[in-house]
Amino acid sequence: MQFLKPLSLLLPAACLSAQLWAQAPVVDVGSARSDAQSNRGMEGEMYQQLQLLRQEVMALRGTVEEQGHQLRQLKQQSLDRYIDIDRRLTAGGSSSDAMTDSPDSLAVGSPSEASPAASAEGAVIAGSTSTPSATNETSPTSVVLDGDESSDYVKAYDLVKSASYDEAIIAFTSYVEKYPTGRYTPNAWYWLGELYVAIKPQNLSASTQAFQQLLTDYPDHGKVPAAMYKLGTVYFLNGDKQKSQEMLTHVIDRYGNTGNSAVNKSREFLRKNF
Amino acid sequence: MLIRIITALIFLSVSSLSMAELTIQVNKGKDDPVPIAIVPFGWQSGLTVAEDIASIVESDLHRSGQFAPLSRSDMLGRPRNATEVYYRDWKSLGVDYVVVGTLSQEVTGTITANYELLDVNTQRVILTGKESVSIDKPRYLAHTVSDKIYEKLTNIRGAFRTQLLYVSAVREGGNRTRFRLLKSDIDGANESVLFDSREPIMAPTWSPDGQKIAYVSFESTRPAIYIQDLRTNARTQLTSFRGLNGAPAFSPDGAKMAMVLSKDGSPDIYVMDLASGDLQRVTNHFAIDTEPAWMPDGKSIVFTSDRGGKPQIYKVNVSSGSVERVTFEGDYNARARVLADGLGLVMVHRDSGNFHIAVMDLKRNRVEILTTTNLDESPSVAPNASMLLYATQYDGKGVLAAVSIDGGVRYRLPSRFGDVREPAWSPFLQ
Repeated sequence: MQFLKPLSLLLPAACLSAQLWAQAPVVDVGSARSDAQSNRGMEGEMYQQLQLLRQEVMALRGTVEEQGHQLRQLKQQSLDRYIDIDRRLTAGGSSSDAMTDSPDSLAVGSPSEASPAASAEGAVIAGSTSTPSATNETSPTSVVLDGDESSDYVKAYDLVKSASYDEAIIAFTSYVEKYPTGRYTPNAWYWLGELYVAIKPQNLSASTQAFQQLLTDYPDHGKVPAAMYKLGTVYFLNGDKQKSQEMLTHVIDRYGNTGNSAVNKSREFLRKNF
Repeated sequence: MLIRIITALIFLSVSSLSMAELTIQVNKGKDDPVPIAIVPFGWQSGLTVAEDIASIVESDLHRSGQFAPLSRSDMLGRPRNATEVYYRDWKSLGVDYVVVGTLSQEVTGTITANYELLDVNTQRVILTGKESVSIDKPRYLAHTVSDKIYEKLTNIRGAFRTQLLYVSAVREGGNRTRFRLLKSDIDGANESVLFDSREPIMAPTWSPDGQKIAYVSFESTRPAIYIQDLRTNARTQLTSFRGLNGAPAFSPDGAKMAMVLSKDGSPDIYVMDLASGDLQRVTNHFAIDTEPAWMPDGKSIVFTSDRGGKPQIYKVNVSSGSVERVTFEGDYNARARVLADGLGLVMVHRDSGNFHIAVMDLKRNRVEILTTTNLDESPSVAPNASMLLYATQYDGKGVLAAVSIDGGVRYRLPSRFGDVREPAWSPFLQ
């Protein structure tokens, strides 16, 4: 809107000059000097044409700018696509896109976004409603881990995604045995912790153990705040309210300034249950 | 994005000089606001303070959209320090944090606030503070407390002690209008007139140190740019070139002024060195170039131009003069203001025929519309980039409104003075 002001200020000026041109021939009507008249008429016409040309150039410039922008976007898109395909090809597997994406999202994303068991309460619900469907029929993958570190992890993670929690536990357990210091071992411990709560019946002590393993072996890993929060909720489910409160308070104290989503979840949990 | 709308009307008791009411309309954002209780501050006997400090803190935090203050009538007690706080009570009220404090007079002519911020869930004091101000500035004391609490809980510098410039137009008898340039605290209180005129006043802007302002005045019946010193109120005329003299903008180091002049033909962007008065023409195009705003590094300027047939935002490198187009979404983008980190800008964006305020992420080239009102104009961003002010129409009158940068909270700032427009949010002061 502000933009209109200079426009409106400019307009009178433009109109004024246009008027001058338009008036000129009228003033000269009385005189017999028709050549001057036609001269001025010509100038007026030239002026009009100049205006039209300017408008035309501006419109064309706009189109060129926009097409240039679209070209840049297309270039970027095709580059992205190429990189993606290249990555899949070099990974050499059908499941490679999960491999490249999931460890990242697991490491940084909040547990609730990726996890089948969003929270301790969620876990109970998930356990009661979705485990019946968690049978083999959706998972063609065997639990045998025979690939390399990445593809084995992906295989196990695919089982989580297809809600085959029992098989996923077996897969992750063999993963941590096979790769005790693997790249995704902390994530595997985290998932084991989650999965033992998601299955029915829950195995709270196994879940506790898995989370504790992650906390002792990888105290600086990105999954630690989420694991601490989860462990706090598992203590609660186990009836150990004091330990639960201690753990959740610890999360808030230690990560309160980092904006980690586990902090708000801990707060929420403390508020609801204590 | 905005699913549910919760409307809350808050009536604040403020001094008669400031505005009578502040309408806060909170639209639920991405995150739930944090429940907090600001307990009325205790008083040292014999001390009289003209303002309710705790209620100002409460309204500051509420306006930020990130906090949901507990109503006083719901409080189970009025502790004045941490030892008087029963955490169980506050927990049962669902409060995450509690602020308690007392006011006292330690030195004649001043008031001192001792306050504590408590985390209810961990049952601990997480901030202890002490602030003293002159006795006639109780609101400033309250805003200081708000800033400290806000910073502690969000890790973002608070901007409650900032100020605001705006222009009002009041119709007077005989087809005359009186224009006023006004300054107030950011919550609308302490409104004062900096300059008034029978001719239009436009485009007020702050110097980066907050000690000077610049604006366009038509007092000589032609537009001219003036600089006014806020401490002395002395005014100096900076330009009066033939044609347009408009849209002044101080460079981030305060040494230069970008402006729009039409002395050489069509309106173009110029930069004036304030010490020497040297003028540099930055853009040169037969289209209209206007509304310059500096990028934080002071090396380039974004501006509005219709050189592509429609108003869009462009960026020009001040030393090389090379121009690139910034906005491509929509057929009208104008009046850009850059966020302090330089990663985004706010602007007027036309969407299906309506003028809204939008924020653009310069990294991802994504535009997000923030306002739902029509005819929105003149966005101005808080120095901590948490909120922005803009001018809009309400009840057929020009009013100022604010919206958080994520669109989660909105409120209007009514003024005593007729139609108001062109808000300019100050930098951090002092």
